[in-house]
Amino acid sequence: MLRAWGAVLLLLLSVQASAQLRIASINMCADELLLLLAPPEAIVSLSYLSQDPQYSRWVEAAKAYPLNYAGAEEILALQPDIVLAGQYSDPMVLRLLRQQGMTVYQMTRPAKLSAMFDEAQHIGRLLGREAQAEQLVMGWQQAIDRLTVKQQMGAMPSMALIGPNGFTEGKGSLRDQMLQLAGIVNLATALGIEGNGELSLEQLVANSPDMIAIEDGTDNQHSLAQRLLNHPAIEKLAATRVRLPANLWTCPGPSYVDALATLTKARNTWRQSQVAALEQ
Amino acid sequence: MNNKSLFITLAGLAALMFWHLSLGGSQLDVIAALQAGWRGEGSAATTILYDIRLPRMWLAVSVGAVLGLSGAAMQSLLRNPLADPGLVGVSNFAALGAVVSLYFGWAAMAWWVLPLGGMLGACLAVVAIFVLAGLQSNGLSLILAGVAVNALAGSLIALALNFSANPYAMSEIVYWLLGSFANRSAVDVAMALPFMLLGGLAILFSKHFLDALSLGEETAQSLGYSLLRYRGLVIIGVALSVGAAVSVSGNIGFVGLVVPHLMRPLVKHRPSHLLTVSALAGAGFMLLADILVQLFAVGQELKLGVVTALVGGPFFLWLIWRLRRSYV
Repeated sequence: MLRAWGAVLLLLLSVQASAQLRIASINMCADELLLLLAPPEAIVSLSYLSQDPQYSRWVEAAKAYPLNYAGAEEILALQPDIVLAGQYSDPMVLRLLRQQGMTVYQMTRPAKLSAMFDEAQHIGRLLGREAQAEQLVMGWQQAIDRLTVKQQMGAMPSMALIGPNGFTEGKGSLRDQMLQLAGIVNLATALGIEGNGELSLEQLVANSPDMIAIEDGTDNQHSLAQRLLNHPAIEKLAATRVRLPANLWTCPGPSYVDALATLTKARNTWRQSQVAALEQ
Repeated sequence: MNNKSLFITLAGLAALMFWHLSLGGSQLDVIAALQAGWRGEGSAATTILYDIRLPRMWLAVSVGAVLGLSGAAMQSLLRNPLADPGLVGVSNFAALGAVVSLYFGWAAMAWWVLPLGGMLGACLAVVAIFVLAGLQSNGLSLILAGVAVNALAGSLIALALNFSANPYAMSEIVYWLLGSFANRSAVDVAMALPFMLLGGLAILFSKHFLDALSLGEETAQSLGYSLLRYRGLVIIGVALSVGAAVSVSGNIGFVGLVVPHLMRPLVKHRPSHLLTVSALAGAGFMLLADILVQLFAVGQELKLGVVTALVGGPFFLWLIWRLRRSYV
């Protein structure tokens, strides 16, 4: 902790001493925070995925910057002071960059909202933009508070999150927390899945959730992992389909607010249909 | 094979089929669900049984049968105990054909494109093996040709998957090289079964030719068999059935090699009998392997090729050890 603060202090000093920090990102989620927090002239490069509309929600904003493919050489050539990377960025590349005296920060995949806020604030401090980060997080918090379903009256609908290969997120994941906030029971959590996991076809059919969110953000559906989502057993499910494109909640950040809005709306629609069914 | 042993075999297969159906990710009363589905009722249980478990079981039965059958047919045709579609690269080339048609989007155009890709790949490999190893092949030249074809197919699969723009493509190489029946549907059965049946029938149609061939080419010719026509028929049969099987299940090794060897002593080394018996035994072996895969599922399911090689490998070693004296 002390060392981290020391690094921040050094950075602040260097900000005052030199004119401008040079910051590069080699991870799509870091791109997003960088675009939100850093002054445009400080950004020297963004990851190539920031230009891919299937995953990135920031294609337009990212167009102004040079792209990188997370290779050590291309980053070294840019001579950034700070490199933002992801949890699963190639450790060999990161080691090389550190050896060259660059500050490398690896973002982690937050498991809850508070961790997501901390991450944004930490990157804000790293970039010398605490005030902006503070403001950003406050905006998220307010939007989330507005959208959170407070009265948990009556039955809660259940929802299955399922992606290619049956991928789902259960207890102790950010998506699970979003479902809770929207007043929805996560089927994966109900089945005892912790963190990342897989829902099998049989589990899905046997538990027959009220709603199902099939993650289908990509155009290119030609793989076995994605063919699973067209299985007749899934198509037969009576569950209401909720559209949550992959790029809506791939990266922690403002997109999660939009995801929560979609979830809350789906939950309200479901409740209305329940009420309508009762009245008939 | 007399009636009694046929009855025992079929009863054993039926028992394995029932055991296979009773396994899965959820608790299910198989008989009740079968009856409910038969009466046309729709429920979670019938969906699980009819849309998830039955397609998987029928795939295990049919793929196992055609792999056993084609293994026996190739061994008889090339008169070489090591000629197995998996070992000589036919399965891997079938997987290559399926990979190319699936990941580059062609398979989405029509239902028959995926098995067609598999069959074309298999066809290419069988022809290559014939050309490379020759018809009067000894074990060495066949194995050398097989190693080359296999290695080529393996790297071409990796190359094709690497070129695919799909983010999941590369990780699915495991499926294509080791095989699995997980999450298959009736669509897959309907896609592959017609071609597997057609190929299987083509092989069975030539069974008396294979009997004659076991006495030598001249004998077969003097008995009135056209070598070209019947060899072509067996080759097409192997290509159709293995190609279609691999395109819906990946490359499941060892079945075509081990099963005919296991069965050969039981039918007194007669090729025509070996074919049917190997098909039945292949189905049983595959059911058993898929049962093991599901029984030992810890988190992610094992791939089938792992189990067939784990069971088949040591057994085959033992067989070689035992037969070594008689071969030398």
